[in-house]
Amino acid sequence: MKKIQPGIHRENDNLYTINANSGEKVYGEGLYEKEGKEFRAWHGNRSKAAAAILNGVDLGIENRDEVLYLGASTGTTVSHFSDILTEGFVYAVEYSDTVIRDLVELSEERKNIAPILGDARKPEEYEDLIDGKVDVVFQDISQSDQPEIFTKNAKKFLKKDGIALLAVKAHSISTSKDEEKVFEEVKSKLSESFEIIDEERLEPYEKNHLFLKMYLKGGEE
Amino acid sequence: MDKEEIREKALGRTREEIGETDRVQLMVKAVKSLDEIKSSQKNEIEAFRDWYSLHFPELEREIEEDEHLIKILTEDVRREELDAFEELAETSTGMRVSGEDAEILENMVDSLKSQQNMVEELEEYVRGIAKEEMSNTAILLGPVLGARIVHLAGGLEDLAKKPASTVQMLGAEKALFRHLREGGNPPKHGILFEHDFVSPLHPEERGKMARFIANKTVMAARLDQYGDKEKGEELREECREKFEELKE
Repeated sequence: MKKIQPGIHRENDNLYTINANSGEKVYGEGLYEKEGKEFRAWHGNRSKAAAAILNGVDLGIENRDEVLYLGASTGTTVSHFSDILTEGFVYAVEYSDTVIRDLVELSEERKNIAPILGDARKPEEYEDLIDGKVDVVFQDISQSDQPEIFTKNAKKFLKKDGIALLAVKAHSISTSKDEEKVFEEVKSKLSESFEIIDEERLEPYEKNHLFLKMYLKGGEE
Repeated sequence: MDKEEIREKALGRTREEIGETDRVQLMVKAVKSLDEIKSSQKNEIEAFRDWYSLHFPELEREIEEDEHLIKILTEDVRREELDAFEELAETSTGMRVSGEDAEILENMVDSLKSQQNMVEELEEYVRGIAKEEMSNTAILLGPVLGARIVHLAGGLEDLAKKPASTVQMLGAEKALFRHLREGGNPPKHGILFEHDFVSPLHPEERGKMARFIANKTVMAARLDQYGDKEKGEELREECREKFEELKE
């Protein structure tokens, strides 16, 4: 077991996070005792963040960061972020009132998750719940306007030197256009507001996905 | 603000919103159960008919309607006890049953009957909610078909946001993708086939009618979701005119 990023461990081709809620599984993942700690398996085909890490992306998330997570769904990836953020916090936004039920359950057990039922297109609806600015904005939403949604939220909530992480699904933007072309268009749209510092396809874990790591433009210097 | 405070606030607000009663969602699940029960009921009745015809094949053949057959057998299943069918019973070629063998058949009849009651209860429930929560769609399509369409679309709002061409194909996904993959004719209609104005038409005309109704359906759903709840009759009338035109 080797620590490859804060709170993220790797052994062979598998990722693990240290279970913050020991003994409890979240979505049927494997639990392993090792070196006196309990590790939760984090599979690339269950989580795009995990797929990105396995393909070489350094997420850059620190243990004490605050993360805004858009498209939290049932909380699979959020639960691993919750493991990583031992002194941090994650705001988990999800649009569907059926899907968010599992997330609500999860945040009853884990004190560093705030579940927010809301439309990421309208960040003003949940801005009163977000305390200042965040260190990381992460988005995994399958909508055709996902770049616009992401930009809106990052501009509103991300610290100047914060990290912007985005999973783009080509098929939710266009099913007819060639995916390379879709990705090029998305990147050129995003580069108006962001500087892309890393990009990685998510094969073999997810098809037709691109993962981007970016900084806000005019932030870093 | 303290993080614990934020978490409590977010949790409270989310819990409040997801705890709210959404009757359309309840209706969608009810109609799903209704269709499941109906399809298993069909198989069960078939098996029961097969079973019962060992004892009284003449009655099984004579009474084609399932509901009617169940009603006749409610009091007793033994052919010599069925008052109205004495003649048929006397010459029956079926085997004699009594005791345990008759009892289990009677229990089967009871079970089929209570299933029938459940179907009726569910239909009544779905009808009530559909008329209340999506009156335009319910009038245009009939409440149960309307509920089925909403179920296939994933919700009333989802239906309201779908293009009519998609609605026309709801329930015909298998045929549509077969067409896209292997060519051949595209499907004319999915579940809209069940509509009173589609199924009676000549097959040649059904596609036109289904397309027309699909258009009106999204209008009805949009009105139900966002606007005027009193347009159902008008939309249905337009469909009726088209139906009359195509019928000739």
